[in-house]
Amino acid sequence: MRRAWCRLRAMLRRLVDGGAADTELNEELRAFVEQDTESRIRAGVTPEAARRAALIELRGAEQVKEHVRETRAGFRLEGTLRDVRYAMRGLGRAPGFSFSVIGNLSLGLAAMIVAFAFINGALGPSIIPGIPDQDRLAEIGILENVRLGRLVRLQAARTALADYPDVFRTLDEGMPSLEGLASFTESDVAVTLPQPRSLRAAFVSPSYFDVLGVRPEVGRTFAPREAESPVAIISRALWMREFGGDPSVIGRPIRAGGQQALEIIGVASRGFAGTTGPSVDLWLPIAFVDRVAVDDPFGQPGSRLIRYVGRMRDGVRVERVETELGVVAGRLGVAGPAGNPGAARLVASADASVERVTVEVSDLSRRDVDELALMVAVILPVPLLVLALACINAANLLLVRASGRSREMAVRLALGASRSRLIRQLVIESLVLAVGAAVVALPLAWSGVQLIAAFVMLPMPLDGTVVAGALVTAFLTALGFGLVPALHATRRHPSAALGTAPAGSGGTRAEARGRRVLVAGQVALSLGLLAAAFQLTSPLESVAEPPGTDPNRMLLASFDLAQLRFSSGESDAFYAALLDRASRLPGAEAAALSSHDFATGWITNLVPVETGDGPRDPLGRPIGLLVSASSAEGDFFKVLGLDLRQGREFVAADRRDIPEVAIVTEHFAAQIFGGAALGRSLRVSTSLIGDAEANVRIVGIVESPVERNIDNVRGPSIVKPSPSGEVAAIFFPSPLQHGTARTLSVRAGGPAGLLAPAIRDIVAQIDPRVPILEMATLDQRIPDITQIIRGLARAAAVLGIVALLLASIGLYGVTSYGVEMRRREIAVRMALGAQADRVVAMVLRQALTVATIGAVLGGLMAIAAGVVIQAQLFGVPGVDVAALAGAAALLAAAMLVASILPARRAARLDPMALLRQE
Amino acid sequence: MGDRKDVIQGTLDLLVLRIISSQPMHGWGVMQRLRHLTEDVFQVTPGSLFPALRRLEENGWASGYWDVSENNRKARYYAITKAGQKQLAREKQHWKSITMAVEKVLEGA
Repeated sequence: MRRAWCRLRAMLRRLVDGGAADTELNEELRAFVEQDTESRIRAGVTPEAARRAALIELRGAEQVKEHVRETRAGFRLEGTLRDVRYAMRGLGRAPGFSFSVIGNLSLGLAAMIVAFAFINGALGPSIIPGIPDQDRLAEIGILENVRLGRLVRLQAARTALADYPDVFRTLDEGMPSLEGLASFTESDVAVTLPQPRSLRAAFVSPSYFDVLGVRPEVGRTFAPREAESPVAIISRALWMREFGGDPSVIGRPIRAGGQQALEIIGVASRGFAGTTGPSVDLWLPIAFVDRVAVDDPFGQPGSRLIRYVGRMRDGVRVERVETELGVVAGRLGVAGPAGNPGAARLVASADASVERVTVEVSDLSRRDVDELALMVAVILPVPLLVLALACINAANLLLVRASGRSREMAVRLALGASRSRLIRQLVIESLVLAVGAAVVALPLAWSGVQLIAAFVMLPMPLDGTVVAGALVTAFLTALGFGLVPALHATRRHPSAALGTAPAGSGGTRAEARGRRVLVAGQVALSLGLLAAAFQLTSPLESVAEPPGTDPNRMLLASFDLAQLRFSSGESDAFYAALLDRASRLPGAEAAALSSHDFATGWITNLVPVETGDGPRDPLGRPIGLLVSASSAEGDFFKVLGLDLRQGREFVAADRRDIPEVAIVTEHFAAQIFGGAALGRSLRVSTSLIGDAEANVRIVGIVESPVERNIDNVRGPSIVKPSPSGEVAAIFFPSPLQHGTARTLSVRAGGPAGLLAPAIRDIVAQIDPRVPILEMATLDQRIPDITQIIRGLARAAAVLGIVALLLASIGLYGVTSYGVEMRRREIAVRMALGAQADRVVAMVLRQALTVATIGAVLGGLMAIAAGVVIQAQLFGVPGVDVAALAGAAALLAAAMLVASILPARRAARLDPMALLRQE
Repeated sequence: MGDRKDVIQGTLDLLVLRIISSQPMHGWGVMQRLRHLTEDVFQVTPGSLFPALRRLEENGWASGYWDVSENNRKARYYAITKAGQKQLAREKQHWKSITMAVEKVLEGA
């Protein structure tokens, strides 16, 4: 123990005092030689002979010193540190080289880190934030088998609320392998805090927080007897956002669903936001679901989609839960996991085609892990490819450096340095480069993650795991790209490099050709990606802007009064007042209400229409064609900038419970009636299921709005938009179904965002309980497709630039290496009278030949990619010559820079010095 | 040098410790004394002596200091420490038990 301490102290002292120990040893050895010499002189030897004998006795001061160093504590660490210091000094003397290698590697590492972050986020173990020991949670699913033609689809079944207590008790008592069982169902709810807000609420059993293991941040969670008490728990996010983290929020009264008074009793712990997709901000006892929540639009009255989750006892396996559930399922009268058929006794469904009901046990997870694994498998090759290219480029650059240092290596080998020592030192140099690259790569990766996070709704934390993964990758790549050049550099026999043998014979012709092919491939790849980025970027403005509207001048605010459980009469009164006040707002040119929020795209709300003489199915029944539909109340067409072409607009007298008149778009008229649509009649079903119907007469024809979200236009009966995106749409004077949801659209004289506070005031004055679900200008709500195109363009641009950088560094490395290998040849040429500019031209010609071949391949690739992009993304023009030319110009500039640097170095060679050196 | 043997691996530290235990000594002195005591049987080179001295020092068994030698020159002396004396006793005991064991085997066979 004491000995170890002494050694450790000695080692630390040496690390601190640096060379002092070595100086002392030198002194000591000198004293030794002197003493030995003197003793020999005393014995009668001549001074010269005595000194010679003494030195022989010592057998080389350096060797003794090396022996001493090896016995010292921390010898290895010291050596490694010395190598690191040496490597850093050496790299500092070659900034161009270090910069290229680090820049190049950091791109590859950043790509890998982003991939790690993605995989970490996608496949990480704890995927629902705020829930501990998630692997012990099991969801008990009750599924309906719905027959759709020949297909049977499984969907979550609804439970009649009257049956729910019985179902819950049966499940809870029949499954002893569970520590506890909880239930929940979710809905959007209007809440008065007193500020009106629309919140995602979960209606839960009192056991919910205990089963999930979520603790309260402040206050408490539900007590077992509180199944029907008017109490509420809020999320920490809501607490911070709306109450500024004030602890006195406990005990405060709030109102939910318009009428129900509740008391806040607790704040859930940080990060917990429910167990399903949308973030939950409010938890209430399940008994309030019928008094507070919006009616389930797909279920029968009095039924809800209730989900069950249990916490398994320690050591219990899912199989046991399944077995127990099978028994319980028999008692409930449904089929168990094994698939025993049974009668659906306790499940209420609106759908008559339910064949049977089954139960199953699954992980409580909000994501489809299989799908994510597939995504990972699809995406992973890209960063791997980038990393591989970066490694090959780095290896090339290191080869160039190594052949420049072959003399140094040869001298050191000749002086007795062992080959393993030199290799170790070269590999350490690579490691230093790799660590430098990792440091640069982390911020790069961070911005990459931000870029991707905009698309993928996934948490992608750059946590310790990811950083550790990055460092391991950096270490492995350092070995990958450093070892080959290190072996190569130290392979030659010292005499070869020291003697007259030409120093430039590293690499066969095949190797050189391989390198050039690789660079050409990189050039092709970068040109293809750059051209795609240009192609995707150029048409964006025209895609984003609908005709006749300045999206910045239109404000949209959406409402759903069902969250306040308003009757249709109450909601009609609210909307009438809202439209009246909004159109008289100073600064507003026109205001309108529509049942459909058209900022989500026109094709997202479709109804079937029949003309009577339209297409029929084999049984002679008319086939409904699907067209976009909305109510158009107020100055709707003026707000949208759609001109009336024929007939008239709606008047107040047109309003009915079931509409009798309609206005259609020109594209509708052309597609359904071949043009002459005015005065014609149609039958319209109010929903896709097709229960209620309306017969309407066309009283007006307007300009067609333009659909941008073309991806939704799939399916045989949809009336397709025109090639330029004009939509077949039908408008009614009031909503077809007695809807309680509307979107208010206001067209302003200037920037519409300025009207937002005034709209908020108007809403508060009419009814302070009404929350605005979303309020934004149209350009803030640019539809997803534009964002996807924009995101794709950005991704292609980033990848293109990465590929361009890699290609440039690759070409630089290969060209430099070529110059290095041909130093003798170039020197001879120059000695024989070749001009410097001819040498430059020679090097450039070779480099640019590679680049040109790559560019031609890349051009072909870009054209192919352009055709595919045009086919897949509506509104994007085809292959853009200007874009291709732009990308090629950018590429040419980069290639020129990459090859001119080594060419100029070649021209600066001093032929005489070089030849003498050889 | 046929009759001069390399010091058995591991015993050099013991021998050096024994030599400096009677009086502090510098490297050259230790080498001379070792040759003298073993009547030139053991061949100790500076390449193994100096690492051994360093080892003793780093283990806390010897402490080194600079002093003036017999012939008025600066030399680095090594003196045994308390821990070194304990170690020497331990090693001596160990060595004796080994040699006795070896002897028994050799004689007994």
